[in-house]
Amino acid sequence: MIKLSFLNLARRKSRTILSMFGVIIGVAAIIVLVSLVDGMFADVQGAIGQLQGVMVTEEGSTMGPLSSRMDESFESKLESIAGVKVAVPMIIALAQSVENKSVGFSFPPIRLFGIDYSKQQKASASPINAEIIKGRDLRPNDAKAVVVGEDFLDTYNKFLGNKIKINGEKFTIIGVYKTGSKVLNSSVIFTFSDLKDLTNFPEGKVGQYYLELVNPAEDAKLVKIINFKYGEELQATTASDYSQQFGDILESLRLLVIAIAGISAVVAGIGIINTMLMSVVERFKEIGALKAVGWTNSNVMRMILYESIFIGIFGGIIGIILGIAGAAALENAIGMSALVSIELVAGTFLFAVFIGLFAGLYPAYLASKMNPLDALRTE
Amino acid sequence: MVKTTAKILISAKNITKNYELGRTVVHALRGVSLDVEKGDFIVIVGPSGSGKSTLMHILGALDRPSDGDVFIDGKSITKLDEWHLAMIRRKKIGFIFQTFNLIPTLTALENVVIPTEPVPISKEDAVAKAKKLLRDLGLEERMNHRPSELSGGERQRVSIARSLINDPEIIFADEPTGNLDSVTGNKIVESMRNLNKHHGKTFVIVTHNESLLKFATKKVFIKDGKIETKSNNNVRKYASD
Repeated sequence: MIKLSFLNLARRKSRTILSMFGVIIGVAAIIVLVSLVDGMFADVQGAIGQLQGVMVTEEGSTMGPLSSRMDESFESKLESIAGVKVAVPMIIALAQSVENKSVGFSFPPIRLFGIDYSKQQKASASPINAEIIKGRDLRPNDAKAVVVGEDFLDTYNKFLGNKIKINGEKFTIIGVYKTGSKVLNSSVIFTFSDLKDLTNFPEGKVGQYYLELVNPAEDAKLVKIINFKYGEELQATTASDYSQQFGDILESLRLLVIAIAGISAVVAGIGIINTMLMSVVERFKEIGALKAVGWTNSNVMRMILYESIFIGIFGGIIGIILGIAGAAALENAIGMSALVSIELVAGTFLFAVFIGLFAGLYPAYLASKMNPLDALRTE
Repeated sequence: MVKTTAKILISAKNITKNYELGRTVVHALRGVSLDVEKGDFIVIVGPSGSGKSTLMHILGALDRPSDGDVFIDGKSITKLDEWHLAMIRRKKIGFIFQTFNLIPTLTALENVVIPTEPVPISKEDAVAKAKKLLRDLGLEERMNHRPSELSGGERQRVSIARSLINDPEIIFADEPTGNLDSVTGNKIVESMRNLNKHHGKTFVIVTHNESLLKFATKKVFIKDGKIETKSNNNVRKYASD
């Protein structure tokens, strides 16, 4: 029966392939979009995983550290809290242009970190846990100098000692660092005053405080204390809080992407229903003959369902292959990371088979309920 | 001639069949009774619209009468559901159609095997049986050809083999020579007659073609939904041929 179903599909190859296309596009779209979101998720998680200690930003800042502006007087207040070793003032911004090319919408976004090195030197680790692999780290008195991530260096074909133009101003690359995160590896670190000047950051203000703790395990406790004391003005979070927040955002994005791709799957299902209905109508007489020779309604139903499931299976397999290839191509073309997980592949494959099965139900029911005599009389 | 008492395979009792076509009711059969005995080679003739095909469909468990009763092996089938009727067709009945109704994508051999698909017998046994049937019908060389590569007569022989694959006791043929030239048609009838004589298969043939009457063991003339005459031919049944 499986062979017969297969041959039935092969009868009208172009029609079968066209209806398969719907499944292929739906499945490939899900694979590409979800893998990109998952890749982004992994990147961001990686970046957050690099963060240490406690981050303090302005309460109610709409874009987190990017739009946060706190008074610099908080520095001593924060350091006076028991358990805080040092409070490092930081500015975090996004690059507008690099080498005169706009990078506002590039991925990963190029983050600019301005770190107060006079304070940073008192801490045992950098806020983003960067390891210098070439040159040296910044010092408090450095000016017009930057330390860049290794991916940033590659992207702009620069070497240690070269100058690089960021937001229209030239800086000397004096060091290269690497971290475990793709996002952070595409970032640039400045001294606090350089980035303040570059971004016209308001005088007397700080974007974010990185607090290094005496005992890192007490981060949650300190967050509670800070939020209790200064909750109206400041917002303290641990790295794992960040991770949770980003995770929630990306999960919503993932669902949205699946919903959009799901619409194409519905269209694919309608395509299969149409194909199967036409195919059933064309074969009324044959189906009548099969019933006359003793096939039961469920035998006929099974034959038609096999056919529509085949469309789902083959569409699913081709869609998955194209989806993986598409995700890889996008990864190379625009530098986004795509993460194709086994769960994603298995899930979309089952989804494709389900579409095939579901779309075949009505045509199969129709064929199975057909009176054999009426079917045989069809011209 | 010694009259043998044969087993009655199918018995139709006072069957009527009415169709509603819009507001008019067409009386396709008006009280028909007929017994099909084991070994019969019944030829039912009648003009178009006489009700002969309707009678065949009702006898073959493809359709239900409006009134009256049909017994197969002594059991009434009139009230059976679709599944039980399908089982009766699968086990006891074979069909040969005027237009062959073969599946174009399958080879002759696969077409013969197809009724066994839902039957729990091994694929090898089914194929071996189908090959034997095709060989017996002279299609040894044509087994792997698709219907489009076969002549009309060959296709009809494939459909005869298909009707025999589940080893039914009785085979219904609806205008089996209708789409064939007279020479090929005669060969097909000979094949069927041969199966009747040498393998004990019972045939009920519905046709316009009165020349088939000469092969019949039982002739049935039907007109306006009624059997006009029933007669036993001088052609003797398989046992004495």
